Amino acid sequence: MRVALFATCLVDQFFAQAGVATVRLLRSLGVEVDFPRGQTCCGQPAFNAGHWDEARRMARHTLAVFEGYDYVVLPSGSCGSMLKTHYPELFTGRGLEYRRAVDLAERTFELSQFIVRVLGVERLGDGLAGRRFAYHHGCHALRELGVEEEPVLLLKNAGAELVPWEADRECCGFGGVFSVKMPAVSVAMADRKLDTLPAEPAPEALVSTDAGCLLHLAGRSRRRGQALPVRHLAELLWEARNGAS
Amino acid sequence: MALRDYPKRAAELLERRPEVRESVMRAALHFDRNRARAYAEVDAEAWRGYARRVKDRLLTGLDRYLEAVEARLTQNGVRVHWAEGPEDVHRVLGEIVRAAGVRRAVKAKSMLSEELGVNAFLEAQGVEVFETDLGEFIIQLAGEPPSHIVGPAIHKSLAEIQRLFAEHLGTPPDASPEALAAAARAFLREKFLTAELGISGANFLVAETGTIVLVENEGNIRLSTSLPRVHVALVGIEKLLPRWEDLAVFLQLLARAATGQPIGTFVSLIQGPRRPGETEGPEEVHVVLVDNGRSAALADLEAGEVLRCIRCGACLNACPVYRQTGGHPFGFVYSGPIGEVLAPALLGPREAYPLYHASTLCGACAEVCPVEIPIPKLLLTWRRRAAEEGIRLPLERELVRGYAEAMVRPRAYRLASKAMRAFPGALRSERLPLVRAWTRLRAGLEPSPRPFHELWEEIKDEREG
Amino acid sequence: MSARDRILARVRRALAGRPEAVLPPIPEEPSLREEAAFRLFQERLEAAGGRVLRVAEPEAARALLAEAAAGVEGAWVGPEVPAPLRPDLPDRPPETAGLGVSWALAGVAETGSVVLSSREGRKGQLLVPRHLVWLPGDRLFARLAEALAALKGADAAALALHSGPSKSADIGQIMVKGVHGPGELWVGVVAFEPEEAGDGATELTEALSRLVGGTLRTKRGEPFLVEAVSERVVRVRTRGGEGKRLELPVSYLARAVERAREGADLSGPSRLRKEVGDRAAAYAWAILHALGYV
Repeated sequence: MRVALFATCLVDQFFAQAGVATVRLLRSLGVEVDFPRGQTCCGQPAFNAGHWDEARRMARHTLAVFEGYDYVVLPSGSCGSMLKTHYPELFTGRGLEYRRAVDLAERTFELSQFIVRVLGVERLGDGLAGRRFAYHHGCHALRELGVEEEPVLLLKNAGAELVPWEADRECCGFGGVFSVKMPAVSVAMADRKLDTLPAEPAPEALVSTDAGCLLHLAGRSRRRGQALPVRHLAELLWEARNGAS
Repeated sequence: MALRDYPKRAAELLERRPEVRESVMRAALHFDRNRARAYAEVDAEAWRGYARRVKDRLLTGLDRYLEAVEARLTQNGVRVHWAEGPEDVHRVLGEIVRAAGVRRAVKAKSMLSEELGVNAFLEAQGVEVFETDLGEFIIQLAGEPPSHIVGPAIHKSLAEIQRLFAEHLGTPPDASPEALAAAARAFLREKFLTAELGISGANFLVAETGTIVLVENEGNIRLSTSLPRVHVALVGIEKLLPRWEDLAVFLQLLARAATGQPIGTFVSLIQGPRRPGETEGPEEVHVVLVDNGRSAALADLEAGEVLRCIRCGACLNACPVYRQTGGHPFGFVYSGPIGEVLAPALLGPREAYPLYHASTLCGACAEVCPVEIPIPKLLLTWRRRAAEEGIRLPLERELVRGYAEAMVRPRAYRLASKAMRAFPGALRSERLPLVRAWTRLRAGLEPSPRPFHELWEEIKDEREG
Repeated sequence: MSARDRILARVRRALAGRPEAVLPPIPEEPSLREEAAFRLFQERLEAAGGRVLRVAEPEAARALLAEAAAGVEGAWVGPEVPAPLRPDLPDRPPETAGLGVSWALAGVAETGSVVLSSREGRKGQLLVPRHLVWLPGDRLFARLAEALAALKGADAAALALHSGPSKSADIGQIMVKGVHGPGELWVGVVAFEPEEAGDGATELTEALSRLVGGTLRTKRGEPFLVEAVSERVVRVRTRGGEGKRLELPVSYLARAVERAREGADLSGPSRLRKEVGDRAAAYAWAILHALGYV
């Protein structure tokens, strides 16, 4: 099968190692990924702000870049959902483009979803044995893609302990452009997440499928003087398979 | 209070009054947890689907149901009035006040009455108006608008309420909650017993039987609608239910969604004025059927689903954005997720801007709504319409266009990627416009030393070894 | 064009061409057997802060009444409440009674609710600090849907479901009871047939029914019409039949007769008020006087 990696602009720019980890992880599972170099941004920020003409331009570009692949895998819940849930909405009423959007949606998967539901793999290894993390459920992954059990399953089966966290399913406040349009509220939401993290025993890091959430929480944590480490799920899943580096 | 000041008011509130966030968060979490437990006790999915379909049926046959309920109410001895907006309501109330010689009115909580400016109008007619719901009473004393659909005073701490009551009712400054409630009870009891007019909203109005349905926990609604000689119920035209039997699910669903109870403590099923042989109860019952923008929302196929709302407040309690500030910064009668999609539906996207942007689209609201209103979908619809009409921040269009132009050109993207790394201070700047919105409260962004698309070149030929 | 016309026109225009959505059937839930229904009823109402007792014979009813009456100076009792279920307390109006006793039309197990009628009076259900409600055991429905079906079209200006004591958490999220309505709700589920008092009551009712349609005068000379007499109440209309309607419980008159027989001085309405209580005493006295009891 031909599998393409859509790194997404946030991973590409801010979590490059997560992209590397994704490639190596999939390769180790017998999946050779391609990285079509024309890829840029899925268009979600424009879409969420109501600028659908501009979002459509970026979506058309993305549709073209990923044509011909059997699967498109993203280390991101929000961008994955943009393609899977919202591209068809963008092209409703536009005939052939709509069909292509639906077609792409059907081939698109968030990384952990791809591993568990398409590859049927639930155990990656035991590279996370004895390590403790706090798992943040990104909203798009959780409520739009229905990706809830997969990341948890993969982490736990690799030996990781996930700390009980009362606010784990609450929105962190990133919301893309929301983070700079309503910064005070956005940060208050991050505080809610950080205030409820268990202190004893402390998790080694905060993990999520979404780079945006991680950047936002890490940024706020550092400003608060806590410097909570954040790891992208892809990096940890590779460590699960390959052992810590 | 202009809706467009939401971001500023929210920021100010967070900075100057952190205790409000604490009070609101505690209340919202409490309600939401109770709701979750209450939903789990029943087949919530089935009930919600049923409730949605019942409301859809009502709305798509609304003219028929309105005529039916009018006929039934009239048959029951209830006077029916119709009001397009506040002026009509004021006129009806004015006539009733004059005809009945009303000098004092007691009010049960009604969000619709806030929409219509009822209290201010009555006071201008020389009528003393007393809010009787404890939360509404508190904010009436404080001179504030409600901050939550179900719990209007959740933003107020015990200490603030103690001060308020000490000032207005003469209670000791350290009075316990029981003592404060007793003081309110004694104060308001005298008003119930002497008011000529009781004003309520309606949680439901049953078309089949003409029954006015009111739900509460305190008892003030029963008292407001039983003791005064005249009872006026203000009912939004979307608040009807088709059948008497529909009450079975709706009464239970409303309570479970709002507070996690199996049913509200007191439910009034009012058929009309006192009957022959009854020695108590109002002699006159009036229902005012109110439009106030609802028929316009009805015509809106894309965003009209908001009219299914039964005003339970579950979405407020679930919303991580609302929880940070409560309802006041919204500047509108309805706040939280439902307010964000009701405001543009009733007022238009320009008037309501930027409320429908006050969301991360996390979807928690849609998960809990008892009538399955897809709030995130409605928010996107209003954002799209606003963008199309040019309702946006200055330079927003240009920025977005520029962004799109870059993103459809991979070479431009890669150039921008290099540029960002050439000026590492840019993303930590406390002066650049968008960046400083980030850096004021969060540490600056640090890109990976090299972007993935460069690293790819090095790893693409690696093989599993 | 009136507001009505304009609103309906706008609604029709908004809906033009749109088909009506299908009305779903009322969901059916399996009912519960009596024992399970009672247990659920008790669980729900007690979770809400109420008290629920099954009362299987008259002694148990008297015990509950005695408990409810403890420390209470006077009670308001709904006219439909049968004699064996009335407390041994002087009558008081609802504004000052320390106990209110109601007769429920029905109960609902799944919501922990009792259904009350406006016919018995509303103030007594709301203004008293302690509210005791008698619920006939055979009127406890498992589901709200069942109760609603049975109550559809009930002849009352208003029905009310009470499912616990009055409460509010509006003061700093701290739960307080008895905010406007009763702070205590007690429900006695009656599992026996409460017999009325014996021949005395029948004799009285017969005598009362002979007064129907006639006009009497109060001690002060005000004429009033005796409109109707039932087993439970006497309905009168003041000011010669032009004024307001009042209901006098037969049980109140019966108690007055008993007190008179015991030798109490009931020589006028104020004596009646003192000895037995005030249920439209002026008219009650006139009736008793007309019948020769006082």
